[in-house]
Amino acid sequence: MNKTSAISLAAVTVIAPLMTLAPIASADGMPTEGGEDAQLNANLEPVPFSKMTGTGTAHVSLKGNTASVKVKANGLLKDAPHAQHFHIAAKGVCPPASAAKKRNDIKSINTTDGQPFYGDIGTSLTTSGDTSPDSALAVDRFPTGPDFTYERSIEVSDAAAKSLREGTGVVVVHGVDVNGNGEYDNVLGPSDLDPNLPSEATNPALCGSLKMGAKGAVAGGEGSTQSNNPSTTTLAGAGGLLSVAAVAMYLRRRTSRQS
Amino acid sequence: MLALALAPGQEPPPAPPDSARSPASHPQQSLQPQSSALPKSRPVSISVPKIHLKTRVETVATAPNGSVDMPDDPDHAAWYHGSPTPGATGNAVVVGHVDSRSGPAAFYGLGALRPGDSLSVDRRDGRTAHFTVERIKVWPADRFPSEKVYGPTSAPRLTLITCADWDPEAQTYRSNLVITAHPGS
Repeated sequence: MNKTSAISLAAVTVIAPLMTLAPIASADGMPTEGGEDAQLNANLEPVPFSKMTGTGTAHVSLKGNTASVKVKANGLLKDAPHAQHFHIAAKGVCPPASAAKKRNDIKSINTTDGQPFYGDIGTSLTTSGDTSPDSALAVDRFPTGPDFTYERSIEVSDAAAKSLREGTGVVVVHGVDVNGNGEYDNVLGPSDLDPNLPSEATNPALCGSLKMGAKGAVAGGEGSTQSNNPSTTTLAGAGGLLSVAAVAMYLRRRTSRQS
Repeated sequence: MLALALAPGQEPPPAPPDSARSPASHPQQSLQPQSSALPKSRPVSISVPKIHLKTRVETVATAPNGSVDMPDDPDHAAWYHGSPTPGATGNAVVVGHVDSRSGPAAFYGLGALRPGDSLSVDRRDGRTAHFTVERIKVWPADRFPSEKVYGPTSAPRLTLITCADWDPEAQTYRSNLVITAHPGS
């Protein structure tokens, strides 16, 4: 019996509860008419207690509401679907270990535990079709493990675009295997998103805050070591001797520059 | 008097190799996940034995112009908190001044580094991340490849940045010296 199809069937029933969890990201969206272009990067790290060893990166190039998304992830559960989303409009961080709760005597962080930190789902990073929060668990349209490179250009909601620009967007890749048996099972009990799914299938595995990439050269010098800088010459100006030294060094510098 | 004139601080910083100015040749992006990655932990100090540098590492954010801010103390280096911590997976960015108003600053000697030179970063968790210089580039400020310099990597990387190419007319540095290093000593 194919786990994937079982889950995707179940996913249909999940949409309703999930929508309460993520009260339509675009509803409060003020038109962010032509917000500035933004380049965002995230390093995806294992969520505490997920028993994940993989890592990943995410890059988002945002122009208006069009997001060119690239996610690379590795070390995920093999042959299993991994739901992935932009979570938005909360603290913009990944859940710390202290967010974990015990379930079946095992500490874990489920999707709801992380919500105060990374927020609600703003965009579902599906491989095709709808990308709204409605597709949050459309597991037949998410990449499968263990490693994947995901690339897609998508239209995000105003709320998601705003959150991404504010630096509160978080990429979360879901699906863990804490008992290492090679499949999603009920070791952590039922999913907080849908009791028909195992918690392992929906728990966050990799997480990373999307931060605005730095742009442009740094301003890391005042020029005092450059002998033709007037501030040094003035400083040295007490004697003509020093100016001679400065010129000598200037020439020397020119020579070395040309070599 | 002459000794004073020749005191360190009046001498321009060491020049990077010519190859640093050649157009980007080998597109090296090590994308394989590396088992040598350390967990996340903030940097405390950086050591570059070849240029006798050992200094504290401050933490900085993005500057108002979108670039990376500089350390308050020119004798310190600074880790960009929008990048991973040195030794952890990803591209850790550490910046420093080449000189201040009064003389050489922390990254004054950076131009003397060559591929294969080693450096290390001590971290708050007590561990030391060791790196080997991989490549040295000088990028003009007006054609600065931000994505290449600051963009993420899947393997641990350390990127050191300071100023280069003094422009006597404009009284400012025209370029950035960018040194990338990979884990290992």
